[in-house]
Amino acid sequence: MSNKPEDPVEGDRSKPPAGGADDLANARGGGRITGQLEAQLNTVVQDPVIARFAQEAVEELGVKQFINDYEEPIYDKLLECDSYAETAKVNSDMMFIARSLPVINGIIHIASNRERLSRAMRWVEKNMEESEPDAISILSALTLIYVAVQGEIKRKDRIEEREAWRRILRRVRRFSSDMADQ
Amino acid sequence: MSLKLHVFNPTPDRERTDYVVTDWLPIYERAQIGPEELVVRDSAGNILPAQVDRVDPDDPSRDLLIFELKNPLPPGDEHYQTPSDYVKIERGRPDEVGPAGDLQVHVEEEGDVETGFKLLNGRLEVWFKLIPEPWKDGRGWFAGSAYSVQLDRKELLDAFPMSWWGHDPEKRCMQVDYIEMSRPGWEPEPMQRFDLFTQQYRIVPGTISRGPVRASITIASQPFRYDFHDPFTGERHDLTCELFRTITIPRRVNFAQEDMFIKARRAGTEPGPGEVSLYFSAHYFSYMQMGMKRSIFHLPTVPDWFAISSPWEPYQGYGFATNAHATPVLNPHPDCAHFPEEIAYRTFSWSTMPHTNISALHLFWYRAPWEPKPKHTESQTGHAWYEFVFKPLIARVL
Repeated sequence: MSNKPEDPVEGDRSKPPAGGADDLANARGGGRITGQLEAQLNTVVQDPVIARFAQEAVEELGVKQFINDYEEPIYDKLLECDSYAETAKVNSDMMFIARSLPVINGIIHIASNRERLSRAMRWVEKNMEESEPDAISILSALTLIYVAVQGEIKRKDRIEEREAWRRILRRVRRFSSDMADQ
Repeated sequence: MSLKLHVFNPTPDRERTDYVVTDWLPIYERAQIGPEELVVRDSAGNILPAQVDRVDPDDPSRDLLIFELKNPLPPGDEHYQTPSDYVKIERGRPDEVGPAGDLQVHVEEEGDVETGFKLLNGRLEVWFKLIPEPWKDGRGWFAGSAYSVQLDRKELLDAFPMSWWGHDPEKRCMQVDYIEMSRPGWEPEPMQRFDLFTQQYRIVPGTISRGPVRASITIASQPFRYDFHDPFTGERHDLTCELFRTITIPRRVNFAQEDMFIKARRAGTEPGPGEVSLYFSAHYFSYMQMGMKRSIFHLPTVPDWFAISSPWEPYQGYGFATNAHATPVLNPHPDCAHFPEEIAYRTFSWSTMPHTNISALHLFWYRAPWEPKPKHTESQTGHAWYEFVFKPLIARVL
């Protein structure tokens, strides 16, 4: 299957991860940053409701552990989306979002399952004020906010990435403010 | 010497410009111009990109002439009664039209075994497997499937970009996993099923075509036996059958087309005159990541096409259109016990109704980052069905 660079063989995506309690994520270092994450989410998102929803969404979907387990490639991918967006002549924020949401959706599709997704969608419908919220888009967006903010915290020590993370947070802030407006 | 071909636009309310596919043999018999000297010129005098594709070297009546119009064709009569324009078939130097450019066909081989092929048109790349177990890992069910479909270099069968996680090794589409043929009314079984997903296909020699309009290849299944008894004599008759699939991708488009037929001959005889086409229905299987909560759009009143779309970025989708009706899509596919329940949602299956020549169109799309959020993506499948399957542009010698 490795007959072209875009079609690597490593990993077997036909089998989803075993899953399990997301609380275990905290045992792998997630707990260390929980308070910091909450504070940073509030700073970046500026809307406390969306900041809270971002945390709750990953819990509802059951993807927190996966994000912690695969943080390196996930954050690298976000940086890749940012550097792609930087090449755009106009609307680089939109480019970043459109490029990174499929990555987030990939995470959801590997780490979550139909039952968790249905539950999360019901949670969105219950909590969002819109009459007919697009639950799938909202869950993707909230997960992106969560991943981006956590990525910035975890990669804080990497000086060479600092500028990129600053841009990513700026893009996410605008995105979340658009969400809040809707 | 030139021959006039009338071109028909069956759409009464708008101009159309696209490519035209028509039988080559009647034109050749009248014009006596070989494909190597063929020049197609429109009524304005433009030389048009044209090619002749061989579908089955044993049967010249299946050869096709394909040419691409340069100027829009005026609206015409939906019943193909009134021509909209004409083109001329002339002897000349077809090289003037130029090479195929980004249209390519690559055959994959291992030793002297053809294991697959790739068709490219500059936008779309379809990677096809001919053998059931390409990766020699015990998974022997990939024969006759497209295991990778890339549009603008983006993989669409597993469209969430998780390169670090690896592609889903089960992904595939366009797979005719089995066909069914009706049995005569006096036989006890109404249908006979032939599994194809575990059987190696071969490339039919002489059918690889890379012209200025499209890239094309014909593959044939392993021969299989269809037998029945004659109710008058009581004798049993055996037919040796092969499924032929011609897969093409025209320039620039985001779809692949295929034409299928079954060639049957009396068992023990050589291919050639006396062969017949039999009615069959094709059963398709696909394993595609269209996302949890995907949407399937299939109009009950127009069962010839359907669209499967993902509600998740990048809003990838797959559309199927056919000249034989398609049954409702089963998702998950009911007979995939070896897939864990969590991923069974990626499996889709459906059948066509019986036909002797089944045409199918496989359409792929996604949302590029610079494009707005798509709406009503299903309609492009309906449109493609209308333009290329239901009411294609045609040409005739009058």
